[in-house]
Amino acid sequence: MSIFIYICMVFLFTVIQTSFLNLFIPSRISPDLLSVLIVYLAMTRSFREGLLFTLLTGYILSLHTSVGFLNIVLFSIITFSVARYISLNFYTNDFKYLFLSIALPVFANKLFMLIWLRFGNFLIFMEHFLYVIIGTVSTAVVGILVFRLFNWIDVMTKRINLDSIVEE
Amino acid sequence: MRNRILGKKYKEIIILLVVILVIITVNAGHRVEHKLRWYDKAIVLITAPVQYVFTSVIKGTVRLVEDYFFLVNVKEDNQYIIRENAVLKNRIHQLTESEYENSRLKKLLLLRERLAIPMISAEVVSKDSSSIFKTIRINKGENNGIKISMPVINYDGVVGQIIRVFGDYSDVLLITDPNSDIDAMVQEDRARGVIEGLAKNECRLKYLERLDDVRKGDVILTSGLEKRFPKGIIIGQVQDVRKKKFGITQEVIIKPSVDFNRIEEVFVVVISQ
Repeated sequence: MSIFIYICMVFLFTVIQTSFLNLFIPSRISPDLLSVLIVYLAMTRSFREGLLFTLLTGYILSLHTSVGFLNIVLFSIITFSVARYISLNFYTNDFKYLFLSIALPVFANKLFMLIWLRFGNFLIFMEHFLYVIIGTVSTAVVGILVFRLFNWIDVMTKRINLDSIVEE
Repeated sequence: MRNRILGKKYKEIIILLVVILVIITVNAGHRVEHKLRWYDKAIVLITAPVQYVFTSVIKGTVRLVEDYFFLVNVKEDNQYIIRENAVLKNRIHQLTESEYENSRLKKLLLLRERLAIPMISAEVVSKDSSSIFKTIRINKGENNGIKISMPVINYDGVVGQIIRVFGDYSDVLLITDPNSDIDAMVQEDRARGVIEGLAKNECRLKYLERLDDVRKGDVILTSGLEKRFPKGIIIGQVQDVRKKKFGITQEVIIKPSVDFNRIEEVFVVVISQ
């Protein structure tokens, strides 16, 4: 995916997330599309490029939430790091891998957010924790579809040339 | 070769750890950023109008789909009647919608008269991008005289306060956001505390003395002491009182009077800064 399309996707996903998803689906269970984008960056881009665009995504996100820029960047880098680590160490080309490689970074992101907030009350923490799991699963399911969309975009924009793929 | 790949991997991990540590050090404690630069405004200039259009289109579509579902379970020979019925239902739906809107606006008007302070009405355009933090974007901004820290209310009570202002839009930090804190008091007991959001449709009243007699159902109002919110606006009702075996304070859980899932219109209270 070209940089231009990626930036368009960040804007589009931000708008979808803040209007359609969070206005009409309970926000605690709605999928986190922006985290899916960061996971995609970590899995498909070089380290420097991925990190740079994670910062950019974090910056755009910070203008659509109550959290400061540095906090959002921190949460985004955590997502990026976990996704990067998984993609470098446990790569297998199957559905379970894709599900887990989206779910684990998103889970790490949300869990870190919860810890960062320091609710100081175990019951409140556990209630949020339950929603973190639900939100993570919904993100991973939607994430698989988003990855397919990106794959399709790559084929359409000839980033992946199907003719050049030779079966061994 | 393998050593080179491993070395590269470790290098990446070290760089990421250093970046994370630097951010944690620089940014100890969470806070809300207020000051906006021209490029921040440029980004919102792109997203906010699209959010507005998206929200309006989706609201319209939801209404249409709701109308369509009225027609799903009917027989073919009743097509004509059902079509007529649908048209009429649609009309009733529109009228009911107008009635609701009318009633909402009436309440807003009453509130404006009761408080006798200048207020700017606005519509909700979008919600926070994160599932834990709670902000909304409204369709009035700097060009309409809105400034940072202005209180936002509706006919049910306190909604939040302005944290960011763009040309024609502004962001409201809801009272349910963990970054929000408002000085409040218990109506019956006059005991004072600070309302903090719990990232769901509940808040917590902090710093309330252990001996203060607070009970389930007590009404919580703005105290007016911090000079942000006018005194006496309803925040919510006490839902639960938790007293530990030790300590000098008690924890009180508040159910906000505003239903944040259904919020459509708000009032920004114009106060002199």
